[in-house]
Amino acid sequence: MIVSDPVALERVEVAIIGSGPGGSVVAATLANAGKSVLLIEEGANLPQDSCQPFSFQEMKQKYRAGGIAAAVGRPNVAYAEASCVGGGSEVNSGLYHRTPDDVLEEWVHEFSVEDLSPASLEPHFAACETVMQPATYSAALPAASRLLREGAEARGMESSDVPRLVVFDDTLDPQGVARSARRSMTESFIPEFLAADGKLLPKTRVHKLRKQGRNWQIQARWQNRNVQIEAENVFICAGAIHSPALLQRSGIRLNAGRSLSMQPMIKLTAEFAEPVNYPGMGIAGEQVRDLNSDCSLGCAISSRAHLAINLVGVDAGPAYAIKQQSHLVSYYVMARGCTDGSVRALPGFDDPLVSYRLSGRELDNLGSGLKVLTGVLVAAGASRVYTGLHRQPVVENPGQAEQLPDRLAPGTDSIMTIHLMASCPMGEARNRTAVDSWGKVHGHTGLYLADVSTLCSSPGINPQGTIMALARRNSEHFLRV
Amino acid sequence: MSYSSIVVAISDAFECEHLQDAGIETPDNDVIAAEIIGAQHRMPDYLRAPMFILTWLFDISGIALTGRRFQYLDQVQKIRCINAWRDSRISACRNLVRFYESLFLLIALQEDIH
Repeated sequence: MIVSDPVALERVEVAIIGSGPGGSVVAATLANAGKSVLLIEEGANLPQDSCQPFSFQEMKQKYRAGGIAAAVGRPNVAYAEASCVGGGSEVNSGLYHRTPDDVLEEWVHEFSVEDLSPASLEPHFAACETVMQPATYSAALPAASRLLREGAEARGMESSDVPRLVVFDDTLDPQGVARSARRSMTESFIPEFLAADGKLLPKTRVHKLRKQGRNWQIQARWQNRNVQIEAENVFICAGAIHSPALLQRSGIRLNAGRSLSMQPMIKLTAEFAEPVNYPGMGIAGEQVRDLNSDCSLGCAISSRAHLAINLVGVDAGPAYAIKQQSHLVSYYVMARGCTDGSVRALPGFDDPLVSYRLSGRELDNLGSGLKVLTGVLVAAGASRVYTGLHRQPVVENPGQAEQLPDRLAPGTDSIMTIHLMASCPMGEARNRTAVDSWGKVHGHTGLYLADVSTLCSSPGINPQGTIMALARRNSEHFLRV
Repeated sequence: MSYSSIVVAISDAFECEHLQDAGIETPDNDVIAAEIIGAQHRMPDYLRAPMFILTWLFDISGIALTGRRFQYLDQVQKIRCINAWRDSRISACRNLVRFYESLFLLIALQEDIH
């Protein structure tokens, strides 16, 4: 049920703070096991179709801070986080990956994470996939995907249609491709949680936790009123920024927010002679892995507004983007990030200060990834590639692509990210982890983390699959002990 | 003299620079400016105050370039001021222009595909 008045709430067995992919999976798993569970969410409970995907309205409705935030550094890195029931799954492109084996090995080796392997995670991935049903295009690929694949193959690279968390329907878009809608948390684990007698409390911001006897007292703000909720156990699932900030505000500081990783991205725009775009085209799932630069190359949102923004800096660029929208597609380069950031709750401020220093390796990887992607798109027949770099070199042939810089300048302004993580890493290496191998906060009974903040480092892929599998693994462990 | 008149003036300049010949209908710049100011109020608090201060500085910087505050300039001079900040060596100046330009285009060019 949706809670309409938290003042009337009695003590709950488990309170979960944050309803994104981590919080929703924990909530459904524990409610299905018969626990009395309260799922608290700062944002609103909105249907999928409350706004146009990837629009300004969506930023206003479903993003924290209206989707406008920046990690302070040189350069500043723009980032966006969701704030609504379902969290990031309500606004992302839904690309689904299992965690690569070598990443799991690295986490075990460097952070001493117990019982973490492809085999031990297999049943958790499988269970989440049964609910989420990641799917690829069954027949025709969108033009943006097809061209990326053709260009990659021409350059001897592998390209794949990455499964997405979407529901395909029977209708076709103007390119003859099956239309799809997101299969987000509000379409999957949240209904399952509610059906298992779970309680959902939206529009409630948690400020602080305090241990009182055996229970945790949750101090929150709901409809301009302070409310207090008691819980025997608390799972914090508020994301890479707000999970460590909440721990810090609650006086729990051991390795919380001292590290932060992100997957920095940069976008470019390709122009083709043939029509490749139409109003309402979503994001295609094709992705190319460039092993040399440790980057993923893929398709980005290509709405009229986003294309116009990408072409600012080109002479009459936005007007050209409007006129030529059907011939333009936006692509991205996403690098596997380092761990050079931090999150600090500041006294007197609502929002924590996020800082991040892009390393030389990240600038190298983004630079060489951009070069490779430009070459791929030229090989796919792009007549022009607008690189998005300062002073916007426009590439029209392979020779010009080769002349692009190998490293991005430290002052590059257009770097952004939607993947922040690893601010409270898990493991038994106490000198560098905030929670144990199962998400329990070191030294605190009944307090757990189950979200993207517990990843040990950037996995180099879209992390939602990893978050869900780990959340299920840790919930089951919680039920066993 | 109000803050909103600076943001309306910035929106006017971007409309003139980017959309004058685009041949499309966009919302009134007063509406766009109100949305931009709303977005500024939603920003994290450690970014919000610097954003307001920088916007006032941007308005005043018109005096150094043209002898008048930005909001009172004609469109050609406004675009000159914007270009000076766009090409500035100071990243905060470049980021301010980028912020307004991106939001202006995002709001002005929203498509209703339903």
